[in-house]
Amino acid sequence: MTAVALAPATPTVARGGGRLTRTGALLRLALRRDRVRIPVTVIILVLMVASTLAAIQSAYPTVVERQQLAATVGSNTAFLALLGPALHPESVGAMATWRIGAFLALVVGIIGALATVRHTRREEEAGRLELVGSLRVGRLAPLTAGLLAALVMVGVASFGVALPLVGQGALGALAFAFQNLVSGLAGVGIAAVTVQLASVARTASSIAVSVLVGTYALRAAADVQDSLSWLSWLSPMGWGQKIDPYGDDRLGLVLLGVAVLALGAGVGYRIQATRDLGAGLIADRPGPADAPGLRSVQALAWRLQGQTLVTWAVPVAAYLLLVGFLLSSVGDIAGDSPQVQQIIEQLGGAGAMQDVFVVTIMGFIALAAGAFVVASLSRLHSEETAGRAELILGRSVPRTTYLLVNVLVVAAGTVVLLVVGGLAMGVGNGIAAGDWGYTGKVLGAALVQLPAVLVVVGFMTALYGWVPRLVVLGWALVVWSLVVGQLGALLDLPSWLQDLSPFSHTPAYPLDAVAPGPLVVLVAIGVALVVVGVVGFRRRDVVA
Amino acid sequence: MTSAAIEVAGLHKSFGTTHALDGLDLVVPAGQVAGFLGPNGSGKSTTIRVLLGLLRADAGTARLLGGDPWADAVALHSRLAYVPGDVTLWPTLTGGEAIDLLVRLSGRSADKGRKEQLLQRFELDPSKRARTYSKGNRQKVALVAALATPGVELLVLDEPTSGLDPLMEAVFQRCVREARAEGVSVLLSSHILAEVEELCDTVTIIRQGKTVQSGTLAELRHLTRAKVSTVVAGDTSALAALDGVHDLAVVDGHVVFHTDNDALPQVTRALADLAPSSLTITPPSLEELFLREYGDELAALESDGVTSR
Ligand SMILES: Nc1ncnc2c1ncn2[C@@H]1O[C@H](COP(=O)(O)OP(=O)(O)O)[C@@H](O)[C@H]1O
Ligand SMILES: [Mg+2]
Repeated sequence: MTAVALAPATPTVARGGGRLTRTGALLRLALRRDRVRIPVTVIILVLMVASTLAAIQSAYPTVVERQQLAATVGSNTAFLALLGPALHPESVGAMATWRIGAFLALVVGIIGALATVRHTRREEEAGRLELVGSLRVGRLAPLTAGLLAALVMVGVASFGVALPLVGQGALGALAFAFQNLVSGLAGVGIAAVTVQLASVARTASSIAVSVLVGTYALRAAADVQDSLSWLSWLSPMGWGQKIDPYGDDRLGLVLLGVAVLALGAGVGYRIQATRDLGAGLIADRPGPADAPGLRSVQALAWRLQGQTLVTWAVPVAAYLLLVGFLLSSVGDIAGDSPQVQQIIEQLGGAGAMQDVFVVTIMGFIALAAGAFVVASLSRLHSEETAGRAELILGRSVPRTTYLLVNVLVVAAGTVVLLVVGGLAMGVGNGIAAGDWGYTGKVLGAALVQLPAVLVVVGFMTALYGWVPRLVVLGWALVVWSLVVGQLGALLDLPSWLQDLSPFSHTPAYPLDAVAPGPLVVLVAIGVALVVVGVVGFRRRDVVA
Repeated sequence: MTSAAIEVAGLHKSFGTTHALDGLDLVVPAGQVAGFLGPNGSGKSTTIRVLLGLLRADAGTARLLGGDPWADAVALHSRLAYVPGDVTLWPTLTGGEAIDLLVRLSGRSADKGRKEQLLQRFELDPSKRARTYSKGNRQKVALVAALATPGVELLVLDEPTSGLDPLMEAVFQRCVREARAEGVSVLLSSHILAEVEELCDTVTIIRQGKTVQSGTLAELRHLTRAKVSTVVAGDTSALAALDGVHDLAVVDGHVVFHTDNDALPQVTRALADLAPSSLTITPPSLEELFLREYGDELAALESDGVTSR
């Protein structure tokens, strides 16, 4: 890729001459467009925190139990990498924030980055910025309004998630808000730069998210290896841990996030002030003038879907490789505590602990695959509203072919995702343990997730086939499955409500044996829903 | 030829409470270029989407190349090519890739020479990513894809020139004439009367989902009265008395009137005698045409709006 030399920033309008004119109006417009997204996102996150708190309160009500948790799980290498150290078992608040803190901080960081991209580069890419830019609007007003809108999202999310914890102590709750805020501010700051580098919103998002996930990994390395503990200072999630809610409550560290934001925004403004509309620092290269390989709807679907698949498969594989490396240490969880060893023996020994861990992780990966399906098949709806479906169906392409090919490519993508994930975890475990006996089981644990994911494929196809506007309901299914998986037993939800999640029917392999019955039923439901979707799509209007 | 490429009768289509088509009739004779004229929102694109089997009509009949647009869509689409009014392409594909793909999806393969030639004529760089194309360039991609598809019997073009500059519009008109010479039927929708006049053998004019006029261009000559504005010194009563001169008005020596095109020879002769110091003759816009032909109706609609308030 060619980098274009960056000219020094020259003010194009006289000082104070309205480079920010109309920022307020643009910000109101941006927030109006997010008026559903912000509350829905925050409610989901708040539910996750509330459920974590409830889980700690009910499963570890006494200090002794929490000390045991900290001494076993909390100091186990695998969990150190995933969650960080559990430093204050005496406090319920501290244990709840330990359980969810690092992960949630990463999520808030990603939310901040995606919101930044959505309100800046995506607007520019869609040509709406061109329209806005032609009005009496300051040159830097759209970027400023975009950053502010992202900051509002981050702020609401950070303080929102702290609400369930207020009962555990207001100062600790504030520190928890800051733990998320520091990462959210950094996410906005990082994306403020990436939106200037890439001329494509999707690329700007993936770079920013990769950077954030990378800093999460730095934090993991720092927590596992004492000699690397300094790495934690390079990670917004590391800063979040050092804020230490319900421990030292070092609120001042939030300034590190402010610094990243200031730096990122500064660089962003500098580039924005001098570059052309629609351009990025990473220049667009010309492509091929012919497409000898692009012969069919299949070829197009792979071409469009392939990139998405890679951006999902790489982090899943990287994460599971790491988890695989740590897998064999899960068996050491008991440490020196004889009581815990006894409990574990009752559960079926160290091997069973490992199995439980695999089942839990694969359950999450299955939900990730479900999210991949929803994101990918939602694209069919936007392809239609953008008028590209019309372009294809205006040629001699049967509707059944168009829909089935796209659905099958996404289904094949989930197989790739699960196989790659299972192999990565199996290989990580094989290398770390020096024994490849468990690898096949790990791969099997990944593959038994497939039937439930196929139900999501069917659900999305049926929605798209009949009422394309409602494809967003796919997200409801995934979130519902997450909630049921996390809270179902805890909240004593009626079993039929739990059964609505396809994922609750997946066998807990390798902990339990695989009974083929439920899997066959899931596959049958998935296929039936696909057929229903195709029937609907053949009958309805295709609307541009 | 007796058969028509497109025959539509009494077509109805509603979107919720919007009646987009309200008994529309349209005939495209085989081998001819048919103009499909109507103001924005009058139902042109909706009609075309019904003809492509993308929308299902509520009532009425539609035949396309002798087949049923809904039931026989796939077979029919290999015999036609369509250019949408608002072209969006796949942002990461280049223009050239999109053209090849679209041609192949009709079950044909693009003749490389033909594609090259069209790209040159439309001055389109096929190696650019679609996201960097302007509206006009995206439209050119769709036009090249349509014109490069071999074996096409019908071109369906929905406001194909709305993003093109005058030079490219001329290239487009040449391409349409060539296609017609090869026996291709063309449906060309537009809201610009002059464009339709330039290219079309027959014209169908619609308004609010209904056909209000149709016929050959010659039959609709009365619609294409030109507007003449001039400044003259002399007495204009001789002019006003001429056959084919309408609505003559004089304000401070500025003379404005409408004239039938076949009266132009007499009108110009009479004008010359008046020694005009300035003269412009403009073809009527569709809006003017509607005002003149349906002004009463419009006025009625508007006063309805006022009284009901
Ligand atoms: N998918 C749709 N949903 C609702 N209304 C529509 C839809 N498509 C078209 N319309 C309405 O139908 C009418 C005709 O639209 P259209 O056929 O696009 O007109 P034209 O192409 O002549 O400008 C307009 O009032 C438009 O708003
Ligand atoms: Mg239209």
